[in-house]
Amino acid sequence: MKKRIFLAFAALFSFSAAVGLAEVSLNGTIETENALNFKTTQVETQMNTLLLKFEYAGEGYHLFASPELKVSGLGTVSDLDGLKQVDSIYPYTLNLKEAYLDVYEFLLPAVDMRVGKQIVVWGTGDRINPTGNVCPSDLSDLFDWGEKLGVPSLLLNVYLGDVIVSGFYTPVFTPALLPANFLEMAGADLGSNTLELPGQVLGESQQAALKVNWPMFGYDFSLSYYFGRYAIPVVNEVRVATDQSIESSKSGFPRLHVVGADFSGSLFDLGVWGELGVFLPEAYSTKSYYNHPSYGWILTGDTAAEGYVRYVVGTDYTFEGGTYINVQFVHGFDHEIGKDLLNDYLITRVEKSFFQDKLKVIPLTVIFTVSEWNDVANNYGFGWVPEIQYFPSDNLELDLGCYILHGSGSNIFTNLKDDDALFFKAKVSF
Amino acid sequence: MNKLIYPLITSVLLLTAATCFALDPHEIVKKGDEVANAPKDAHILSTMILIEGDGKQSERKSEMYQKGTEKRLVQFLSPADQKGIGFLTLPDDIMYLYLPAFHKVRQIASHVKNQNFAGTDLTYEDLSEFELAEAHRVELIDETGEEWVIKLFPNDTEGKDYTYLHIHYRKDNNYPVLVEYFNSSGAVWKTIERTELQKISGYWTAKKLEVKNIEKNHSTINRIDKVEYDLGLDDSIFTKRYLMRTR
Repeated sequence: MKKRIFLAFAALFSFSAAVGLAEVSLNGTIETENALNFKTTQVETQMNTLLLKFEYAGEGYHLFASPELKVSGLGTVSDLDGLKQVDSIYPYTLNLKEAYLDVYEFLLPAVDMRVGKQIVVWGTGDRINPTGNVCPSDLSDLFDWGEKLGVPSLLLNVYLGDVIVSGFYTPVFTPALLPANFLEMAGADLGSNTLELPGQVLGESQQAALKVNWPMFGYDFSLSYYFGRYAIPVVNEVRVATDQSIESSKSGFPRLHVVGADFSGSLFDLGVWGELGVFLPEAYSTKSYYNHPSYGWILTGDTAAEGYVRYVVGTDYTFEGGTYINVQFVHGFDHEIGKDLLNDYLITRVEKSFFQDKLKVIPLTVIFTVSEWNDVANNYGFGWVPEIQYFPSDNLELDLGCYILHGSGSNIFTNLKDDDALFFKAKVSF
Repeated sequence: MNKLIYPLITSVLLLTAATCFALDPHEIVKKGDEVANAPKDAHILSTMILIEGDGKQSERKSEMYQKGTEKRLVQFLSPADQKGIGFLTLPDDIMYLYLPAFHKVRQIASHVKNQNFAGTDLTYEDLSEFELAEAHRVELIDETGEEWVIKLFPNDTEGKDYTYLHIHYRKDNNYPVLVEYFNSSGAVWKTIERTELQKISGYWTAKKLEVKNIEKNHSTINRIDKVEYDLGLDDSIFTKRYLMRTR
């Protein structure tokens, strides 16, 4: 692993040398994130991240690469031998978040091309985008929703006056990155689980998307179509043992078509936006088997996939004095796959800056959900994330806050209600 | 009789001439707009110095393209945590913001107009409004040997961060050298001063612009490092396509 990291960095610095070090800009961030569980006093997160951004702009082209090294302070040592391994004491990962080439006016003056591993975000929703399916979600941090993983792909943007036509293609399938405690979040026990990844042959792995964006009456509109796969695994088989416990399960990534539309603009002084995705999974079903004491494995359920709609509408406003409010109504999150599994969420963010944006107080980042409108008292959940951000000087950001989670009934907040935590982050940009 | 008539006629003529030659304040503001907006287009590299009340300073570098009075594209080149942030102004109050961390261009609503742009004392409106004469009622309130001082009341107060303005115009070139922003209590809360005037490529240019927020005891100095005029900038620069490009 150490050799691989060394080689990766050596390759990037060689790239810098090849194009002329003086002309390559090198920026990046160093960040530390720490979270402590209120109730158990357990250190939930201790992560240190170095992100580098290499960039070079030539005549008609642009190169960008961003390797990221993450080192956890929470070791995974489980035996004496582990104490001999530095990567057991400090587990680390190296990821090339993005590495791409932009070619401007590619073949035609109206065409820009970006090729390589890249993050593409479509949709006008604020960090929640039902039409943003071309790159899988990075769900590793529950409260940093909207993060995406880079995908090796080709993106063509064609500019026809005010109309922008975007075409996306990737020959490979990249699954989403799930949170470390995703089973706890989902409140699910999947027994011994098997994951069936699509083969990396074009017929199974390739994905494509097309988007048309145009301005009209002061608003921006888009229509899009995505042909790909769910990036979050979908359970397609569950086997329940005789004692009613889940013995095993199988999950996969079914084929999916998404037809999307969005808009954004101003209504009076308010910022307004909306986004809708019609999810049309290709035929798959979730089969349930029960190990009957007399008859052995019997099929007890076979639920066929149905199409469904996810949407987001939102508005924001800045009051005189600088208080900013952002409100979104969300029907269905990324992880809610299936017509009957979609929940409604109201997400608000209120922030007020002081001292020329040096101090930002964010008392109300609240996400509230109701999973059953007929019985709200027993089927609700919320996450409240009060936060203070301080920017003592350029390039330096300090962030102190906490997650307070509560809920009743079957929802993600009920499942995580014992995970209230205090967090502290510090980030330096260079 | 003639002795009486001649002085009377002379007085009437002099009064008429004085009335004719006293500049209409609206005309002064209009000429000021014309001087400030004289170049067909511009490309400007500048350094902004942000100064806190205790004297602590920080610096931003930016690049700006401007065409006519309604199209502007600004992108920050430094510091590192602001690099790549871009802002595009188009006719009819259409504004776009590009934040590289979010990987997309976002249309922003007019409620941000009076908010500070990226921690500076300049507001989004300061970056997008150029023509004062058509948008204000004006009156001449003072005149010295070198300057006219004009009071401007906005025709539409909606969304304005001032009740009225005082603008000092230089008499020799009509350049607006000082703008004072008054609040509803009649107190000056912000000033924009343009100094180090030079003629560059035939156009009057203030190489230094200082914005003082008196209420917040904070100021921003924008110093032009390089300016080029009348480059024949194409409309394609003032697009979302260009806003996202790294330069």
